[in-house]
Amino acid sequence: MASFKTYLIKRIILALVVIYFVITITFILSHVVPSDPAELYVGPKATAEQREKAIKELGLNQPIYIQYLRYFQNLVNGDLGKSLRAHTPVLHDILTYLPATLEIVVLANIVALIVGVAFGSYSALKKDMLADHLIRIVSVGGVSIPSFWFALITQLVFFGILGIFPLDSRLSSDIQLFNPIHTITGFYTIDALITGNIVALVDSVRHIILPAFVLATYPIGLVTRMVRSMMVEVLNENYIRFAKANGFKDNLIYYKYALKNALTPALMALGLSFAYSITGAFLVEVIFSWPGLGTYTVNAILENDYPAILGVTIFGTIFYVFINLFLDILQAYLDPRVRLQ
Amino acid sequence: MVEPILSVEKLDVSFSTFEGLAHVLSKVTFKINHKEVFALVGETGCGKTVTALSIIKLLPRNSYVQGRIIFNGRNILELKESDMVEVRGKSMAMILQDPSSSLNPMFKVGEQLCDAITSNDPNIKEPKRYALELLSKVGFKDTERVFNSYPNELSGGMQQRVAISISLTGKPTLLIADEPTTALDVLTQAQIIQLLKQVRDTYSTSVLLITHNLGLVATLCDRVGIMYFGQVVEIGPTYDLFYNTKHPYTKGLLQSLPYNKLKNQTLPTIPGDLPSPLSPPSGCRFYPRCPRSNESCSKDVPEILPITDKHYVACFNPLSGDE
Repeated sequence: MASFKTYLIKRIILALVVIYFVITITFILSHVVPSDPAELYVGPKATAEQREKAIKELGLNQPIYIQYLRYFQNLVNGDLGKSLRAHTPVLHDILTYLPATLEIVVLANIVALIVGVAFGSYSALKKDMLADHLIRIVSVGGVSIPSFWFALITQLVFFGILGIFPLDSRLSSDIQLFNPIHTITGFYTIDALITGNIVALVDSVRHIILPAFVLATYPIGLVTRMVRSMMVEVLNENYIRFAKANGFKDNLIYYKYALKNALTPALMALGLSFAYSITGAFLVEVIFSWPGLGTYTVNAILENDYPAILGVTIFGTIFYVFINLFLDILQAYLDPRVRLQ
Repeated sequence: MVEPILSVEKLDVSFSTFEGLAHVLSKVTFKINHKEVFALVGETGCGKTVTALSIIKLLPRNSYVQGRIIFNGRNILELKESDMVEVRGKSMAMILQDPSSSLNPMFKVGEQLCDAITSNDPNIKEPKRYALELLSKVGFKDTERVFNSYPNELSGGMQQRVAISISLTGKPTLLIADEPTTALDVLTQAQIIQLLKQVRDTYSTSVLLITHNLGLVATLCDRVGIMYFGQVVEIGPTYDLFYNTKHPYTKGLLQSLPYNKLKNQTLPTIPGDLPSPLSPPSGCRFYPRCPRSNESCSKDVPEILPITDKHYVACFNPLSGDE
């Protein structure tokens, strides 16, 4: 047990080092890019006086190392700076856009976990039979279909032809006008549920289905393939043969003894895909006009809004690193071999 | 005469491989009586494990099986998988060669033992108490601690004891032990052998012991079958087989034991290599390597026939007593 503690402490220190270097590198990169933050800050019609004032306000007149140190100082206080375009605090922006992204990403990954595990284990049990081949084709499709293309196709089919789901955005405009959602968590579905706003709940659920489905295709394929290949491997292990030979019930063997062994790597993969989607979902977000973190990031990049880029990068890094840490702990919890090493 | 517990009759097993059909077992025939320890001895790859897996019906899907395996009056090979589930663990159980991979590393010993108990006898009200009882029966003093351990916290010998306790949950009438001591050191081997003897005596279990350790055979077994390349070539009571050897292969096997080696003398070996199961030799499978072979050996397959009351041999030119 003690060795696991030291392992964990090592991992945390390593995570902090990673975060430090990411901050430093993004800071340097954002300052060597040929652009004038002060000019972006005040806009094209500003006077020279206003510009001078902005330079002082942003600390751009100071030597680069002072700017670097000050950036760190602010960071520790939870201040990610102000957006050059909107002049709003970046952290506030991120927290505003984050729930929209989390809502579809969490839903997509829950769906992926359930569908992926079900498909993957069924496929492994029916190895080399028709069902297995079909599932394998679908899962290869899932990991290889470009999400933007698939997003457009789902829009075409479910909005254009069938007309059963709305085209884009988080809520229909008439609902927004007449049944506005009182924001508590930022998750529309949850907020609508808490406030008992049934009309808005139904509408937000209808809006979330398509983007979440499109986002889920990749992790579904990933988890299915992972669970299948691990399960096929595990089913050939001696301990499965031993359990069979000594009369363990089939359901116990497949859904307890084999699945738990096969599940851990799938969870690891899913965790990484989840952390990646936080900022990586922007293609889907843009197509579905989903006001999420991905959309925010892309806009920040296009407009050279460097505090926003830095903020999102750092936020993303911290998120990624902590998901990884969480996965390590989860793995140790699930697998005694890791825990007892 | 009492019916044997298990009777394997003319068992043929072949596997379809990329290179063609591999004939792994050919007309394997032997019996195991009530409360008997029967050993199948042979070199690596001769089909001992395949025989064991055929009996418990866990061969891989690319296998073709012919012949009969009568266990408790029923032909195992005709049973459906759903009926076989009722046989495995209940009246027939098996322990494997490598104890460290026999137990699932993700679950505590106790949980696996309790799952075996509830699978094999749903009537047991307190599986934990029965589990602890079984653990003490296989020689653990600190049963509670073992119950709460993960398999990789135990030594190889302890893992094999746990595996044996799992195999005993359904009080089987036949225990198949596939090289149970190969992965263990000599002292632990002795303990496991002692335990198997004890199991035989307390549970009246017959044991099919698969091994290539002739020392183990001598201490534990009532009767022995010698296998060569997918065929049983000689069967007899242990003493008879060791001191009144009939088959040239058995003789070669016994001669190549290290303790026969005299000073500065090379260890006698059997000349030649194992043939390929893809194209086994016609006639007796041993004739290309046999010092006593003649023409008929390459033409006809020798059947396993009694030479005395209990001693069977499959050879056209068996050794006589004084050779």
